[in-house]
Amino acid sequence: LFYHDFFCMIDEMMRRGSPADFELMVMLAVMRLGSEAYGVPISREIEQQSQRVVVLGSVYAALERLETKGLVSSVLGRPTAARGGRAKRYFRVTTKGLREVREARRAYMQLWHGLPELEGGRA
Amino acid sequence: VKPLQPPAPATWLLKLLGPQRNAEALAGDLLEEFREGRSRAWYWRQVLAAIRWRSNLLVFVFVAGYAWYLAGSSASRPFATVVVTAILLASFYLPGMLSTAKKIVVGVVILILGVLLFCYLPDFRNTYYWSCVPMIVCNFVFHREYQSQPSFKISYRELLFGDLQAERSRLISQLERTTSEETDPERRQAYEHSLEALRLKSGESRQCEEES
Repeated sequence: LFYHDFFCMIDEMMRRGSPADFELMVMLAVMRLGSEAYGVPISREIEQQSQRVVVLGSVYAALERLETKGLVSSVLGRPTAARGGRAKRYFRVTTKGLREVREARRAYMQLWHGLPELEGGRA
Repeated sequence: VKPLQPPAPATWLLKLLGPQRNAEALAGDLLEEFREGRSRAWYWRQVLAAIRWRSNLLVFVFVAGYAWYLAGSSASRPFATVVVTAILLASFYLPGMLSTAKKIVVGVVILILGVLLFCYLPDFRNTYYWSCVPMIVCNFVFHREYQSQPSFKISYRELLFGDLQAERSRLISQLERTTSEETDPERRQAYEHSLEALRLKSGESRQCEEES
């Protein structure tokens, strides 16, 4: 893989409005949670899987961007007393989103492939 | 037992300066987490991180600059700038916290007050402070709550060539919304059955497409 190919790939991803790193994590978390994907479980899922602290506000900011790009869609749930009468907003990855996730995985796999620094246990 | 309440100033700040879209969902999520044992410091941290600092700072800079320009070269320029900035900022942020009727009433009251000041106070007329009045009135009268985008937008490609899969996805998202808003359990169950059938159909056709 040449550097030229790398930049072409990044350009291509940017042009199509592909999800960024954190957005991709959010989409994967939404997919893992299925019908129970709303703010709290999404942030918990990312925290558990990536071992990093996640701010709920940034999860919603990423979800807003993804919704604008048409990669996720959302529906309002019922308001509950535990949430002070506020409704949950459930998210779901759209067909376009699923295609983008697959494409991102393919691009990452291609970039990772054949890097000697990443093979074996030590840096 | 009264349920645990998060710090009120933080909630107020979130409503005032937080995101417009998904604001209710975010506030609900924070409350849910707080009631499950998160600390007040955690709540404050989340609120401060959720505030849209850049856009709010932009509004502040614009308003303060305009107020500074209006205050002219008088001796009381700093004081006048602070007062006008505070009034304009209030007109930007307060409407979001009022009901539609209250917003219109406040807007009309400010308009009447502005007209009276314009007619009977020459200083107000000559220093261009009057130009703030239409701005404030517009902020109150024309302020609208953020409405989420419709779940589907038809693309030209779909319009010209037709896309059955996209049509199914749209129907699914529409039906999901209807199901979540339905209160009658029987009708809700019927919607859920239709949803399942549609999802199944959608999955099958996607599989066929991939195979072909």
